[in-house]
Amino acid sequence: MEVIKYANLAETLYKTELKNGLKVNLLPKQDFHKTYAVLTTDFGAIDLMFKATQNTEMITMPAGIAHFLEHKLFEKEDYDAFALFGKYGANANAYTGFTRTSYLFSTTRYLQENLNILLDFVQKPYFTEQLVAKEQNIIGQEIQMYEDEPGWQIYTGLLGAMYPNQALSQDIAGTIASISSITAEMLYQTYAAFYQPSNMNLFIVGNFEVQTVMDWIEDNQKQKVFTPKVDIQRGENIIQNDVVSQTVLNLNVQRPKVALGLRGYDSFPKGIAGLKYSLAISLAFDLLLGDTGNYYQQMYNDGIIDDSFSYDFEAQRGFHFVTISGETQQVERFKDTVNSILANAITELQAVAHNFELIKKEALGSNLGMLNSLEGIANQYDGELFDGANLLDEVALLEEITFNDVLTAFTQFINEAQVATVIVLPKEI
Amino acid sequence: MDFELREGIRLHILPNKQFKTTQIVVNLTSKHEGQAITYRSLLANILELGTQNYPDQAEIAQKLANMYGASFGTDLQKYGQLHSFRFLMRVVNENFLQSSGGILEEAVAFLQEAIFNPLVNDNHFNDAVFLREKENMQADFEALIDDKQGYAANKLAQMYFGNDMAIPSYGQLSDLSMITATNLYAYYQKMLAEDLVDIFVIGDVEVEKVKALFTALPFKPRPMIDIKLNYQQSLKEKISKNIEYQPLKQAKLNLAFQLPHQNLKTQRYAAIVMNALFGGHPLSKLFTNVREKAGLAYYAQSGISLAMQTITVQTGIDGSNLERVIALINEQVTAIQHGEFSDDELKQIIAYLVNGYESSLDSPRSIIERATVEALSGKRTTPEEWVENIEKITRADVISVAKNLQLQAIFALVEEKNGSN
Repeated sequence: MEVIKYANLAETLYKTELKNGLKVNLLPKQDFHKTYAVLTTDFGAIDLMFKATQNTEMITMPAGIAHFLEHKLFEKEDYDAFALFGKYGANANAYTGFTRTSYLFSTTRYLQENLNILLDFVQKPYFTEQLVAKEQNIIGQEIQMYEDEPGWQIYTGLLGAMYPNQALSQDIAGTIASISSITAEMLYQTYAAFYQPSNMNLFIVGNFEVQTVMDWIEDNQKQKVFTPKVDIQRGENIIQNDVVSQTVLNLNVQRPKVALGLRGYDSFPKGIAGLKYSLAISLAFDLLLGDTGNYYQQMYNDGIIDDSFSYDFEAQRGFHFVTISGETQQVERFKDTVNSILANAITELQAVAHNFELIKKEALGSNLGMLNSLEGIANQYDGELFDGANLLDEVALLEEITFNDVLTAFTQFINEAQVATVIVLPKEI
Repeated sequence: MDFELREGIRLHILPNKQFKTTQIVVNLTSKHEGQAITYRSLLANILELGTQNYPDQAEIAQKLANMYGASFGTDLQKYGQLHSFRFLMRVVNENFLQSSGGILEEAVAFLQEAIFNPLVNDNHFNDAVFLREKENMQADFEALIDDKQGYAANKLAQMYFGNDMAIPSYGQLSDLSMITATNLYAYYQKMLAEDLVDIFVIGDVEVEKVKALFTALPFKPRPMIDIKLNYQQSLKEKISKNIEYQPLKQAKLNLAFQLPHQNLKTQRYAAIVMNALFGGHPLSKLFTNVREKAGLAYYAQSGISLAMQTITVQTGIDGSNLERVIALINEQVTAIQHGEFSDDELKQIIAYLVNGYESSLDSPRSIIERATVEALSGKRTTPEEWVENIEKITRADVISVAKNLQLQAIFALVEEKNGSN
């Protein structure tokens, strides 16, 4: 087991890779009462194209299969995993993202029992045509429910504008049409490719004894037979095309909304450098658009933006982008102001360089604050994307980051980024 | 660790090594009563926007960013018959920073500025800020009708209590118009002089240092207020029922039950278990029988207030099923009264409550919440005692407490159709 001490933070992380390839991170926090465990596969909604075995053709699965699989794993021949966690009073959940699927529980008692339930229900698939048909109805209803939500439509619209004609433009849950073609056979094929232990990681944080938990995990894994590791070959799930520069949606909203997406085309640094790059881009946008910047207060006072104004940087396997959005009665002024800042972005960024130390302090403080939450620590873990770096590593990276780092990363990003704009207007009634 | 800094000024230090932050709450408590609630609500909006030395939001944002992204704000809480106005602040524990020092001192100095040096001229709040916030608050009150569930809950409270206990912690529109920049400032002075002050500090702190810092805050001594937390509403002879019609799709049906006299420890814990079994858990009667099996509700849940001795039910339903759902909810009460639940169900519900309680000990917010109720009620329970008490609850205890449930009020908000009303 590798032991990583974060002396400044009074934390110690234990990590290891089991014989079957499963990566395990253990972060004991003895002062806490609860333990939070997340089992994650490096597989999500965009991974539709892949080779099922080494020598076969590339196959393409229907949109929504990752989310469908996540739902179906809970239901077994003779039990329901949710109910089993419930027996021990634990809270369990799962979520599917674009590039990962996570299964989790939190508990203050019966850690071993709950841990076994988690490992067993995820590692023992059981799919039948009959159960698949039942799930098609349930998820179908869920999709219809989302479609009524303007927030969902705007986000999906923006992704569709940034990444047209590819998996990212589709909802994580898929469409009623796409999920209706899912079969039990497809679920088994997908499962076999992406739920190999070598493509998964287990992150446990909270009140436990490291060696005991490690033994429990190993005992559990020893009782199972895994097929030998097969290298995963994904197809071209991200397509290098241009963004759709403007989209107008008429939706059932009270106030108009503008959302800008800046799709990154520069090459995203590998490993921990990618985490540093991500922090740098986030800091750059804090400087440009945050409430200590040159524009925020003026835009606020002019009624161009309100409390709903926000921006965010997102980086996942194969793509990275920035979103800037807000509700506004002045759609054109919102667009013009943000676009003019972006058009001179490097000059604008240099103009607020004097705020850098302030912004950095703020980011450090908020990062430390996040360490109060076990869920925050475990959910932020991005596995291979940042070469195993976690929220604790971010603190050290933030301490050492300079304005020059920010300027360099930002210049690299902004010089090649393309802007997609989505405008949402209230439906004429 | 509790200290009385001066008469009516109490400091509660909750030493804790779990967190990377220090949280501070300055809690000003008075009776939950009449127009004062709305005064306090408007104050909560105004006081967080500016001070003499940091006159606008941008200045405050700069200052907080400079304190390593400290957070600062105000909020309001209703605890039974008491009303608490809170200043909240969170700063990082400087032990985890490579450089810096004196963050806690800076935080207390900032709090002092926010509390004792608000943006005031000639004994009234800054006019521009006052007018804008009063207008915003008016708009917020008027928008309450858009939150249908909240609206229904307020209506139910008015029917059930019919007095000041029905006023939400954030006040009411009818009390807003009389407030001026001058009388609001006068009220603030009175509040600062007379309210019970409870200061909570949670984090890895040095007790003597914290004590010295907060002793220096210029709160004057004041006589201890009468803090009676629990409230007992007299029982109605007849169940009151009210249906209101509005243009909406999903109807809201809320019910209020009284759960009288939970003075004995066993009864209090049995009431918590009973509520979870009734509608406070994913396996509860309301969830499984009203929502899942009968498919009659989009959601159906219950909540308990021991201080107010009530259990309230909230549901979202199709309006045409109104009477069926009321009947079905009553059937669930009867079922619990007749002991129609398995030992396994009871065991799971208790395991769920224990897990939830113990998990809440990992959240600074929940820890302060519990410390506040303990300070105001004077009753202490250790986590071990709590768990022991809840695990002792038997099916007979649950049945016995369920038999005391008395339906008191029903409020429904239903789609307005042509011809109805």
